[in-house]
Amino acid sequence: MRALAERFRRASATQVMALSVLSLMAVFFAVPIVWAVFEAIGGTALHWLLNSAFYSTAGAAIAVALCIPAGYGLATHDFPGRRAVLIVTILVMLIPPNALVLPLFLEAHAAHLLTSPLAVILPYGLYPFGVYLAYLYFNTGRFELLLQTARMDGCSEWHVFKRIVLPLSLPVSALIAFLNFVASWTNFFLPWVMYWSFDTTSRYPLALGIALQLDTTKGASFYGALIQLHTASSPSYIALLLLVTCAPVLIVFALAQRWIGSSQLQGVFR
Amino acid sequence: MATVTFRAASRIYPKVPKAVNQLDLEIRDGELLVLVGPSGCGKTTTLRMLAGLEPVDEGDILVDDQSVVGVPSQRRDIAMVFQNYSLYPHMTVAQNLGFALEIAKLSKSAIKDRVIETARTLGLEECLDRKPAQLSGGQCQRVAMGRAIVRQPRVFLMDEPLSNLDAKLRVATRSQIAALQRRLDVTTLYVTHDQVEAMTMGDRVAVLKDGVLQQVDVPSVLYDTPANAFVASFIGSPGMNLLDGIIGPDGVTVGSTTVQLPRELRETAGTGRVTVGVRPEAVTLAGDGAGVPATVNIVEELGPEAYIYARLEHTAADRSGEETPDFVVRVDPKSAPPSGRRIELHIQQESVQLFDADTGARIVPE
Repeated sequence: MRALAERFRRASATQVMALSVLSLMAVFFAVPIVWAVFEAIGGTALHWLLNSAFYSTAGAAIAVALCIPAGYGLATHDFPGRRAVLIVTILVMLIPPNALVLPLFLEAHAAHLLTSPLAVILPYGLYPFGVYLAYLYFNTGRFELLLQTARMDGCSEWHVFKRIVLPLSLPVSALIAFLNFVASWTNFFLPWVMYWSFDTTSRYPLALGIALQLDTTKGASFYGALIQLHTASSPSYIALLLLVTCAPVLIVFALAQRWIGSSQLQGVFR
Repeated sequence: MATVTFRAASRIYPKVPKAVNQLDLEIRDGELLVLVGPSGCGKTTTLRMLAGLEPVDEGDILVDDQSVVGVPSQRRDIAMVFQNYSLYPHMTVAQNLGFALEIAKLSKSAIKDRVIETARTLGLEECLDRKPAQLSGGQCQRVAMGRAIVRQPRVFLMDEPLSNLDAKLRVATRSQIAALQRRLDVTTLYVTHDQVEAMTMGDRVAVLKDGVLQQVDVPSVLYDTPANAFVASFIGSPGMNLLDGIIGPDGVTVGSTTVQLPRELRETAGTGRVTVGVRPEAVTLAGDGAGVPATVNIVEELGPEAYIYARLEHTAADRSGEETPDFVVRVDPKSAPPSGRRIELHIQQESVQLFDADTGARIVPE
């Protein structure tokens, strides 16, 4: 944020003017489209869209907050059981997510979390693949060297983490957040199982909402609903919903790719 | 200001010979001691033991007569310049320089003063706002140096700080570092594999091989009276020529030629096989049929001097059938013979050194 402000401060008057004109034009053309879309999909769909945004953002945020320290700890510190934790992480990573839905359902039931938003957020917040990605990112010689340098400079372990590790973990954080966001945004099966009760449609994410357009007798004959496609909602309405479903993924990717590809470690070595 | 003492310090990795074996070494207050040796000799491990980045498995390391074994790096008050500089990539030069002071909770104005002063010392004022990725190799090296000196630590450690610079810059920076160290008067342990760097920079030089200290002394003593054949061949560029010889009543016989020896040296050496050491500059070209016959292999012209790499005829190594390294002779480039020419070498007897054929230890005349 500070860097952005700095860039603004340095921008010339011409640049500021060009940016203002371009922004104004963008708003001018975008507003009618956005208005048309949301006017068409109506209040309920907007609600689902916001639900989806909340679940996926919260899940991704929790995932990043947990994966970075976990991956860092696994990569740079030796503690009893480190190997075991690493192996379990990789094993869990290999299990297809859909195979975990039933155990997760039972777990959520035992914890009285069924039909609560936590039941769809937490399974994505705990993200073994992200831990592994972070582990790979931190498990390099140049990182080890930077940590040693910081310790020689008098840093405590906490200072090392806060001042060196966190700022440099931006690329891998962006990657974890993006992958996690897309996975939970596009997921249908897990929320479908967790929101099993029919009075929870107001908590549906968009993916479930679209399905609801196909089949108003949820659970009874989902596949049968595909045949009744025309009777539920108009195909053009469903197509619009699908388009709206895709758009945020593109936006998140556009935001994340700047950091995903960036080389934060550039300049460590010569 | 501090003294550093290694007392029989060892670093033991499982299943391999000791990386550092019973090292006894003292670095005096304000001294620049260079630790030199071939790669894998344990010099960097020694440095890292003092830094606290490697444990000390046996023995002790004292800084100012207080053991630092078990004290974490951050509390040793020792600064290190890493071979790859290891600058913090997300910080500007100014932030890199001030980081340790910030961690030590100095006031902002004090940090600023010291950063600016250090930048001025090293000629880095221009790049204070730049990130490491925007610096040249030489500037990175200076930032790495600056990060160490800004702290005013008890001891500097430098791990081959010049190895990533190009040859010309390395020579220039070499003298700058030595001058800076003398001005700051901070006890320094400097590690390098380059013996020229060691000889030109060090107040004293310690030669390490396979984790064992071979000799530690001022450069001229290392050069003139090496403790053993390894130091003799390692120090000097090119190093000392080492030949197999047999002690006889008149002197030492190398191949078919006998080289006269000073009386004291011959008497001390006794009889039997020895290793004969001759510096390249202790040999002249002779034309009277009395010298050691040889054939010129290659001539290296360096401008003010030239080195002849020659193959001696009938040397002792012929018996074993092994290839002996070429015998190196320093000559005036004007009188350098062409490759393939047969020459005769006259070895100055007073500069011949003898080493025990088995242990390599130098035979000191009584």
